[in-house]
Amino acid sequence: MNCEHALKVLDAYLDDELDPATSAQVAQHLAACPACAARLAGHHGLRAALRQLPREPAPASLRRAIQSELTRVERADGAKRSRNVAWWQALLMAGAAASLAFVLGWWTNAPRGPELHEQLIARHVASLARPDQLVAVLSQDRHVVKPWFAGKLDFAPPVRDLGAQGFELIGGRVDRLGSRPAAALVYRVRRHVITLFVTRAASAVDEAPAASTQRGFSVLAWSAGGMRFAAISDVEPRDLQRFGELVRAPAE
Amino acid sequence: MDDPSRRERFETTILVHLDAAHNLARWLLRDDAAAQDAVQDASLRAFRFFDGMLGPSPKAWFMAIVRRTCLDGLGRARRRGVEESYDEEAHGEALQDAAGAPESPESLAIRASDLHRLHECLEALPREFREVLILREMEELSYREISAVVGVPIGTVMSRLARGRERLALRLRAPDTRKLP
Repeated sequence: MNCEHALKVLDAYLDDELDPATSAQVAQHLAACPACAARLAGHHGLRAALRQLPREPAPASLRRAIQSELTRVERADGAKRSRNVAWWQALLMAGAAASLAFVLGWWTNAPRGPELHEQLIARHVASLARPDQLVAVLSQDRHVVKPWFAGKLDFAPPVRDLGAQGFELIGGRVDRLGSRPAAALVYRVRRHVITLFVTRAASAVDEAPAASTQRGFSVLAWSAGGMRFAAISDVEPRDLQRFGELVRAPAE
Repeated sequence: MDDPSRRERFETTILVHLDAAHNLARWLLRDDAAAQDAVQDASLRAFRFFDGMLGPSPKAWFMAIVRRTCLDGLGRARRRGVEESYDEEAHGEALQDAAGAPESPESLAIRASDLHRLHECLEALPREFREVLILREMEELSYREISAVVGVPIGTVMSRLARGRERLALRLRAPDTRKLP
């Protein structure tokens, strides 16, 4: 074997990817050729250095996020297969949640400012921490989600189908903000969850949307039609702004 | 409910390679948040298509999905006008000439011990060389596995590794990577 041929297969030799016969020929050549042997030594040095580079392991938060997404996918698939069972489970769960909300609930002034923010963040994060309780009614069909709230709340939250605009409806649940029963509508944009909380407004006066951010969460709140709306998510404020516009747009 | 053993099998055959997946994504995308997003997307995709797993090994199959997800992300970023990387293809001739210069393994070993510098040099390599080096040297995949991940013939894997090592060695020997032509 000459140098030209040896250099051609030197990397495969280093990587132990040559057949035994060729490998033996390279070894023979290397023993006799200091130039090629030096080149191989350089390769070995480089390999040793590369293997010392610290690997970038997956952070624990990423592992947790994947695990909860897997659970969500499993449950969604399971729900598709046994819709009837899931429907009854959802009804029971929501029934329990709603009665609890009504038993505990008494009207106070609608929370504002920092207090509202804290409650929004707390409820939004709590729902994300328990993927199995993110929604009590799991459906992308607003004609399923909207009637589901009937009899659970003394207002009828508008439910919009915004899938074509990139905001996929996941479903809804009965939640609370402070002591107020709230409809929580859950949307997904890319991989971010947006929760739209709807409560009964303290006054009948409509209020224009007000945007704010708190600890990385974007919040957009407004009042319309006797209801108070507050959307919260970790998306960019402009994405939430767009979401708010779509929710407020007059229904076709 | 889903068959619980499917999830278990997924965790023991695929999710055990999550560190490798994250490492690859990190080196391909050079951005922490983007890498985590890509790995999460890829994991869900893998879970969805787990029953149709193909290829030389589960690890290679998963890494192929991670790589594809990363490149899709880069494609989107480029369309938005974000530069992917400084591409040294244009300077290939100069590199080829210099690569013919006599080796000095000692000086290479000394410089390579500076891991920070090695990191920079590897990060600056064009993606096609960077990815095969990561898969071979850090993840220790075989040529056959790398060929499946990258989607090129084994002969191409071999030549990319050879050229990648050459270029990396050259960068390490240069007094300062940023001053390279």
